[in-house]
Amino acid sequence: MTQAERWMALWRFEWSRGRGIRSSWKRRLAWILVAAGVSLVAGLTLSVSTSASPDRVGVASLSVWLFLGSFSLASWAGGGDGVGATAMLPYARVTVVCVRAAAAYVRLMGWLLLGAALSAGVHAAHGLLGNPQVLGTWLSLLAVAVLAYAGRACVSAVLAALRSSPYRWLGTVGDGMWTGLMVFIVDDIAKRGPLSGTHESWMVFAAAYAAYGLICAAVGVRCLARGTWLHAARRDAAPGRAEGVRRAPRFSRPPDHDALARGLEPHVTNTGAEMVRTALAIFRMAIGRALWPTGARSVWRAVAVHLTIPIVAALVFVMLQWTSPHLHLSFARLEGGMLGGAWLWSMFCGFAVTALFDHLGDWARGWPVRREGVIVGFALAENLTTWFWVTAGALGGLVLWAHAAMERAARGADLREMLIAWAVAGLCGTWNTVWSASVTLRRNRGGMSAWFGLEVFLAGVWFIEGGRVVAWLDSASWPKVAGVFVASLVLAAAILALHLRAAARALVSPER
Amino acid sequence: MRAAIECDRVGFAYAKRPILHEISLRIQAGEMVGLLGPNGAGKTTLLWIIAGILRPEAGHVRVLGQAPGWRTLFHTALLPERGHLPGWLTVGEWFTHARRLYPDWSEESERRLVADLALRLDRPIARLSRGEVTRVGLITCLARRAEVVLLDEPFTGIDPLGREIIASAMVRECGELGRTVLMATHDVRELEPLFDRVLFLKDGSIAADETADAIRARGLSVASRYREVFSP
Repeated sequence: MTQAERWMALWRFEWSRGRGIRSSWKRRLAWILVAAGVSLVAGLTLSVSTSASPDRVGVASLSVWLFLGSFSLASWAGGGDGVGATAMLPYARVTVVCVRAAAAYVRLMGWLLLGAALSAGVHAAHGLLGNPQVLGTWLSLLAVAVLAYAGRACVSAVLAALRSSPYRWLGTVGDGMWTGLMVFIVDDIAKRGPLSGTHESWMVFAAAYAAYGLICAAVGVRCLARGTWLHAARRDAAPGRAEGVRRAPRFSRPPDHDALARGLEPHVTNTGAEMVRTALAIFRMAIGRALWPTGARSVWRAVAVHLTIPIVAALVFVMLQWTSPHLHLSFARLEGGMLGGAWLWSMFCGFAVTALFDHLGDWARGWPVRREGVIVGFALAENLTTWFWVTAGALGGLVLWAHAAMERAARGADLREMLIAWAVAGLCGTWNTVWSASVTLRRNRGGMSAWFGLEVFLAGVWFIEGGRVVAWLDSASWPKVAGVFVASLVLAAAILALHLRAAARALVSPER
Repeated sequence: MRAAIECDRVGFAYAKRPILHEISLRIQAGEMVGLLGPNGAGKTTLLWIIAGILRPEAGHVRVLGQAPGWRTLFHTALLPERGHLPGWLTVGEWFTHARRLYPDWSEESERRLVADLALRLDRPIARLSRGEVTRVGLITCLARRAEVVLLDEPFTGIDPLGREIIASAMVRECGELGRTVLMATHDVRELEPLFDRVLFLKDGSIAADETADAIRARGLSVASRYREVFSP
């Protein structure tokens, strides 16, 4: 067997992930259609809300499409099972990672080309192909994607290897950077006023992300070579063994059965009360794992560590807006960011709940408690990080407001709106985590594509219109606000109850 | 005789807790060796180190004269305890890929083993039972012409009849071809007749290293010797 044949064999194996048995061509086509629809609707919303003209529908749609590409990649790349399958192969670890990254990059390029063709079609329909601003932005977006997707491919190639290692945070930071880059671009496109034709800052951000991807890949190669990722597998295999391994991956911390037993007593007759008791017991059991997945740290230390990155992000925002002449606009953007960011982040918290259920498997199904309560308990614990993010945002806003107050430029309404944004973002995020968990636990793939599209669309709406929503809540009369609050509460409770019940059923009889 | 596997004062710790301590052993080519010990003794860790997918923190390991790493995986086949097979493929698709990925793959052995172990090639790996996954893993190891075969709990989830079939397949594919086999297991009774030699691992150290003939000469079975070594 020649070297080329060996490389080709590995390439075919990696490529096979994309045409796995679980994703038929119909599902992939459905996903492409959903992604195209979501991108177009988001693009239209952005365009209408900013310039009231259709000149940026194509670029706005393309930026959303590029963001959705990374989710497609996640489904192509499979899960952690890919590490084990490749680690046993007689190939250099560098080769394995390079081929994985190359396969991911080729897929992303395919996604990019499709998006470019679709957005070019939108531009052509509006007769904008000759517009220098639109063309410049469109080309910049493509160049950014070519660069940033290289980083994305590198990160995704080693994500599974990193996930079980002490360097797990590299993957998390990579995901955060990617989301940050996309939010940055969408925010730039959604700015009022004429569209800029040059976007150097996008390129700098994308280049930094690509470099970060290379660093992740290098660390991933090291993890594979040293077998670091195996430590988690050992814990999974025998959680009660004598070695007493202290550190564990996010989803492998063993449940505290004693805590569960303490919090739950049999023969609770009131269904609602039983659910609340279950949720609280599960929350107590899961809070440590949610805050510090690798275990063995105090809760307060975990909180401090979790707050570090959000506070740094808030400080960066404060520094950038410190001398802004339009502080009121800065507050509105911050509020939109808090609401949209909380919505997106909480969706991922829901995914984490589903992954936790997957990890616990039949153990969680076997607990003699209401499954709805279990889902809510895990979701509340996972959602704590959403509160950290919105709290950091509110603190940043508070610093900015105090600065404005000293300059005699502060308005009381800005402070009130920020507090409203904090509360709405936290509460909506909490609701969204439970909703995401209950939708993803059902594993209805067709429905999930539509739901996912809706989630991203709603996040976009929050980002763009969040500031206005908060301003309305602050200025509207109390009866109106109370009415909206009660109506939203009833609707949210009804939707959640339906989905929780279906998810609880799916947990008892999972679809195969 | 040539040593297939050599370990010299191998140590491994995780989170400052020792898992393997000063393990020294030498396994000759063609030997079929049992690695026995209670849960948490360090059997799986030792197999990972010999396979080259985990690095020891102390000591040296040689597999066919080479330090373990990805290169030694050319002539080392490892059956891990838990599923590391690509869940996105069917059994047949995986074997098609395996033929290309492993230069020493034998299609003839693959066909024979698939027939013996009664596997359906069109079934997705993700939907196999635990025993079926073990069978697919065993075929992945045994269909190769690897000189060194490392098996971690090869009977996990396998029914009694299946165990007999697998044991005879192992004799045919490994014993008759003179391959070196190191097998970590708790199923001492079923595998006892296969062992040339037995290593007893206790708290990360070798508690006893004896040939099966020497144990039998003392009127003991490997299972009863196991009880002697590990009884408190």
